[in-house]
Amino acid sequence: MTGRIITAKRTEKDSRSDSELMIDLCKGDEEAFSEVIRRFQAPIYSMLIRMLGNEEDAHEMLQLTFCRVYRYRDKFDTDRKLVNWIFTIASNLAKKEWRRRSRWINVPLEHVNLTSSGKTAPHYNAGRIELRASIEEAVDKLPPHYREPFILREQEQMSYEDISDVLNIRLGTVKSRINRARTRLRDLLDHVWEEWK
Amino acid sequence: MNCSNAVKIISLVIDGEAAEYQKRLLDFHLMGCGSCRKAMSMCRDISEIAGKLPAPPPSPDLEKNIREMLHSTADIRHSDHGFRSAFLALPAVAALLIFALAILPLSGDQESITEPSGIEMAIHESKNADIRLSSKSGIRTAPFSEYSRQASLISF
Repeated sequence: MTGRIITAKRTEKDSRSDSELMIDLCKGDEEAFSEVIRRFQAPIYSMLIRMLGNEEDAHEMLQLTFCRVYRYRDKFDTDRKLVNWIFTIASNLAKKEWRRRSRWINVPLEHVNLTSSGKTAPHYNAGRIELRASIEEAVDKLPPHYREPFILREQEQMSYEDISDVLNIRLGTVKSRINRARTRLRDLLDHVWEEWK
Repeated sequence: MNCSNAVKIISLVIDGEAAEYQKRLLDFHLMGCGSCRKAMSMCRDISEIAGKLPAPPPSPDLEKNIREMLHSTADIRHSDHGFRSAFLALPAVAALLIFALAILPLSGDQESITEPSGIEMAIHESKNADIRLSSKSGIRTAPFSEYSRQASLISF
């Protein structure tokens, strides 16, 4: 099954492919960089919000991600998908942020369960228990190494191969972690799902 | 097939990554296992809803903020580079000065050490006085007197 990435629709003025954009960016075309930001800001931001649990941190990491894309544009391998490269940068920044948080509370990274901060997504209606809100909360409670591939699969519709490339893990590990994420979510949502059904 | 393997295949089926034989095995297992049917149904719902979780859009000032960040880090790097170069050059300059100061006081004594004394030169020349220089090969040989010996009763 081929993965598809939900990116912003391409405008009529810029029909360059991702590789062409990077080549032009390396040549000094600033418009190419603007187009890269426009195309990938939404999916990267969406992933970072799910990873980090709040909009403020996600926004900061998003800016850092594109700064790194610009700074290391010469190191981009044109044989690789641009979207995978940018997601890799964002993922590494998110991991660094987790480690920083885990140092504060002196908990090993494997045991850190990041919960949503007070700034939850605006669609959540406090006072009504909805399955969607419960799923969102349950996803936030997943351990980072399960949450990451799950989000890339469910939200970004990435293939297993692309997830393996982004996270630099083996294909078997991708399958295993997504399966364990789903098992964990079923355990967390069992009672809610029964009520909803 | 046991439920543990069935659950793994459920995940593959939802992602469209399962092979045909795996789907058939799973269908057969699901016919007789209620808990795995429930797991399949839950996974489908979770997948469908998780894929549609909305996220707020990024700030409209994102590009402007990024460019400001790039500009400010570029300025910091330039000033850091200049400062760092000057800072690294200081020990090198200090070392050169110390070396120069160390050499200057010693320069007067060097001639007496390196040049041989007149007496030593005379002894050296007398030892080599009998050595002749062959005109053909340039090899220095001792005089003939060194090779000859007094006649004696030699039996052949």
